[in-house]
Amino acid sequence: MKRTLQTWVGFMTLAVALGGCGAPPPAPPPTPKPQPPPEPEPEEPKCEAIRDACKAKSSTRVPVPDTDYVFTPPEGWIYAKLEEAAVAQVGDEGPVLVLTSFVPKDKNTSRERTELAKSFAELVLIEPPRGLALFRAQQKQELAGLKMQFWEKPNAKRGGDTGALLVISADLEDRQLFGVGFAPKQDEDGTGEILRAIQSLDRETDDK
Amino acid sequence: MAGKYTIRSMLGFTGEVATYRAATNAGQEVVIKLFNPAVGQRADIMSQLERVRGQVAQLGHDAAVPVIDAGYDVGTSAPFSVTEYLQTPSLARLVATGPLSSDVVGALMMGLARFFDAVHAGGFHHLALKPTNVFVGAAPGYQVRVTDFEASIVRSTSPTHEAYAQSAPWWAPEQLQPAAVLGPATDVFASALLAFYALTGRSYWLSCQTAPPDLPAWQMEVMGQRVPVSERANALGATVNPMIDGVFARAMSINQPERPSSVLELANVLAAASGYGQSGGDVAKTMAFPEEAGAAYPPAPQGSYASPAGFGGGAPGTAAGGGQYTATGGQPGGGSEAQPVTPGLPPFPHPTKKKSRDKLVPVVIGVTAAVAVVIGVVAMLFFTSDDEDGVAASATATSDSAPEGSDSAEPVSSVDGEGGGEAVTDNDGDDEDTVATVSAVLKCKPECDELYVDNEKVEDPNATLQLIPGKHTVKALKKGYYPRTDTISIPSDKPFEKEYVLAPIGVKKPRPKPCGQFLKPCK
Repeated sequence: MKRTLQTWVGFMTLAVALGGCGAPPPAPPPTPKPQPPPEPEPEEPKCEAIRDACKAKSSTRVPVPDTDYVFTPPEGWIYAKLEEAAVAQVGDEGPVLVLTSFVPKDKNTSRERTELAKSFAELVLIEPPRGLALFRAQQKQELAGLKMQFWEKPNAKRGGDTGALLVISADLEDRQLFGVGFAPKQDEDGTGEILRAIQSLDRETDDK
Repeated sequence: MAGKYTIRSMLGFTGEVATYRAATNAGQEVVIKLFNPAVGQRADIMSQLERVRGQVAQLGHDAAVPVIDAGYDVGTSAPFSVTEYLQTPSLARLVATGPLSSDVVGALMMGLARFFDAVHAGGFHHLALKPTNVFVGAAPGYQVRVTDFEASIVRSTSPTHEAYAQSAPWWAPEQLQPAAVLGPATDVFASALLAFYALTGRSYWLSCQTAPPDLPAWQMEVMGQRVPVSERANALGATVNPMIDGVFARAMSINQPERPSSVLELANVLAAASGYGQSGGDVAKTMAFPEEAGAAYPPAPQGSYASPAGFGGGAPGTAAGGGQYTATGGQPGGGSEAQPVTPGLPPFPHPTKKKSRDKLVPVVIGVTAAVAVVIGVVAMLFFTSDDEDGVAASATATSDSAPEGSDSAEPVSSVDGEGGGEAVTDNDGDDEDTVATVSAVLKCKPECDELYVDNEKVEDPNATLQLIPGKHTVKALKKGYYPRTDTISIPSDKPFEKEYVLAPIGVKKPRPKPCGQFLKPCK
């Protein structure tokens, strides 16, 4: 009997060991880790400040404020669509071009033009030549349907460079398109790029 | 100077007045005009100077630049006057950078007109207006300031060639006539010349297109027929509105009564022609020019005043004694007589101590006259003696001075195909009275009508001349061409040859165009 009990206990133990332990209950599914919020896609800089450092591509077209004209800044130059003007420059030194428009207060715009040239020159850190006066244009040329007037005044300064200040002006219907450019005297590339940028002025089209 | 002023630099010299930039002991910049001591010997001139200084001071017009101090330099007895140093550029300085636009000139003439109206209403005149004594303020007013009222008074005391050459191109015809009455019309004439100069950057007179001007030709021109200013401007390569021809023709009339009574009439037409005034004076600033540093003669804007070497041997910056212009030892604020003499001030010829000046004047005049008479007599005897000996006193190629029937002039007017020097002998073959001459060929292209050497006409302009080594003046004339005046230096050891290429009148002289960076760059 004792042997039977032992056998039974042994059997039961084995049964418990083998059957009672069985397959463990399935593990609870792992708690999903909270997904990090998806990284926002890098925003296109608005290029509304020079600090945005937008570099112009060959396809870049920058509008001239308050006009339906655009121009192509030189490739690789930093450009900005400021509220008051469109700027394209290599940097804080070297060549620079500013294009804008204004409503003339008087029929004879020479004084306004001169004051505007000075203030826009200062905007892009150009020291205008002493005695700047913009009376009769030195050159007139038709460009993009505009009768463009040009003035060139030597002895302007930007950074450590001396060069010519180029001023352009053209009659729009009720406004004047106006621009100021500078390039160091020896910088033929910069000088050429500014002229090309001015020549790229054209009416904005919808297909762009 | 006078223990009160430190001379800094010379601004100009006309032979009768030396103009210096100076500073007071307090550091204020001033301009000092040091007159020839001969001026101080003339009580009448000194009183005229004092009167005009008073009139200018009383004028109270902001365009007039009054004399703020005057006195005598102790060392040289030369009278001096002091005015403020104007920071604005002179018209000569402005135009040196290029002609001014018509609206700017219109504004300038408006300012000048207001000024002259006040001056003439005050009963006096300027009579020495020129681009170097008109100073122009900043836009939009372009305030005009006029200096040098004393010039016309001083000019009469000690006329010099330098002063004449600088002033004459701005004179009216009546200023060539000693007995003529000068008045407001004289200033109107000069204002018209000034306006033309400002508009074109050139003198109206063809004879004044070179520096120095051809003064004999100018005399003929100023007394001759006028060409409309627009036509003259075209001939000089400039453009002016033909609308102003009429008023300019009247302003530059030989007859004073025909001229406008006021510069204002001239200014009004200029303003109308340019639109100035209709737009409320909407003109831009042109100022911020560097300081006046020697005015330019109109046809040669880069030029400068003549050296003061003839003013007593001193060159600018150095004194006859080798000292500096800076006064040493002077006490600030002291009177001029009590102060030590400025050691380096360029002395005038024959300085005299100024003591009991008024009493000495007649004595000095008397002694001078006596000395002059003695010198004249001696010179007459000397030259008479020379003529008798038949010595060639001049080696200009002319025979005009030879008495008729005499061949005494032949040697100096010889036509010699061979080069090299030779001795010119007198007609009696006296070898002791020989003058070595050198062959000189002076050609014109195209051929001259007339050739003058030392103001004597050469009979045959194509001939080889025999000239004494040294300096000679040459004038080449051809109808329809600009006259050429030149000073040549004949060497003693070799033949001399020079060709003058004459420029036709009415043909634009090629002017080098400045290269631009953006516009019209140089190739």
